[in-house]
Amino acid sequence: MTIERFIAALEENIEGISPGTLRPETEFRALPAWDSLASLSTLAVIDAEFGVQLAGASFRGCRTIADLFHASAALAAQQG
Amino acid sequence: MALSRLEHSRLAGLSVCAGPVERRLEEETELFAHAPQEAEKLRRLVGLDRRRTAPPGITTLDLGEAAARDLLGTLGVAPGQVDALIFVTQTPDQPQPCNANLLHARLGLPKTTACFDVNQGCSGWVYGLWLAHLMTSAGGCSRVLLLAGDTISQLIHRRDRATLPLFGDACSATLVERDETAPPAWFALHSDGAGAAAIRVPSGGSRSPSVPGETLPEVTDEDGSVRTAAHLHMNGLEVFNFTLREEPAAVRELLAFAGKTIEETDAFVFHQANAFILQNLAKRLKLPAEKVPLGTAGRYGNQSSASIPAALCDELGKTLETKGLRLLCSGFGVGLSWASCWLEAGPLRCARIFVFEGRTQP
Repeated sequence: MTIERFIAALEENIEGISPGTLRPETEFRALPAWDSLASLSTLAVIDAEFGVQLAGASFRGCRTIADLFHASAALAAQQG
Repeated sequence: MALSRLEHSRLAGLSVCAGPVERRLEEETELFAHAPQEAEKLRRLVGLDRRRTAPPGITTLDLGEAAARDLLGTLGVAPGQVDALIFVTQTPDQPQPCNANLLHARLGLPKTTACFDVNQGCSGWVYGLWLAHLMTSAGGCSRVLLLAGDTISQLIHRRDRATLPLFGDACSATLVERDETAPPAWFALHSDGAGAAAIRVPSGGSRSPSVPGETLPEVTDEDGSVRTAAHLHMNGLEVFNFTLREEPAAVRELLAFAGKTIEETDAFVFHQANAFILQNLAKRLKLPAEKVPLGTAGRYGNQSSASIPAALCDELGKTLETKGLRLLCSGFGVGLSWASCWLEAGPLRCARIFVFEGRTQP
């Protein structure tokens, strides 16, 4: 899993986010299209791509797309 | 570990009564006044369209009575033939006595009938079915009538836009009979009380009693949804995570316990939370889409413990009435609680869902 592929999966699955919109440093909650359904879609992408469920507290602690990527990758590594 | 293989019990029929009021998502203009496009996103992404609710004054007991009368009447089962009545609900008419005893009187059941309630939600139909199978398999009962349902819409604040569009009201009636020739059924039940805060109604019990005349403060969360402590609180993200964490393993575990494969199972009927969660679950388990009914929530709303029998009747009723199906059913939700079963059902003499039209006297 690369961050490029993760970003492509997010852009494909979140309504209102067009391809090319997201970068690793993007603060996703500041995007005009971001809402609770975007959060739900993000957790679905993380489940599909990493096979893990990012807990609410960890998710809230993520500010950028790179934060999401690293938190999910760390969880996946930890769960083996 | 609550794993059961039970013999000599047969699912004899199903009937589900849904609330009389249809609420269409496009008509919830007050709820989405701030962002009309949000309703459209809910339709596309989550699969919401319409739901059926019971207005105040119509209760789970009323819906359950209608379902029970329809089922017993269609099957030709007399009140004197019901040995036990289980009522699974979290929205009983009153704290005491339990709904099962109130329905016992309404149906005119004999004094020899055992009655009790089970306080479970979205996992509750499978819990009740497990008990009904235990009672007919080893408990001396010939017939157990299982009621399972809720009026969750009545617990939601009218300005809780994260939760209100999801829920409908319904109650199911299921009859389980002793049958020496019935094939075995397999059950697995799970709990995680540590996750209880993800779905709850904080006040109204003895820890935080409701006080007559007291007005609870309305609290607006960061997404703009309003609740008081007496309303349903659901953390959608945590519930979504919980489902994807526990359900795939539970389904695989039950298939292994029953010695069945995905190919040997005709349909995987999950609690109809919403189409989005079921699509993700089906994808995770690599289930063929045609084996996973997921349209019931978009027509009736999330019906809590009535949702599995509702999906069986709404999406598979004709097949169940004509030839029968090999089913894996799994409910998950409030508790946190999840319960699954594998069984062969049908042909059933009754598997239908209908809309409440008022109380009928016998």
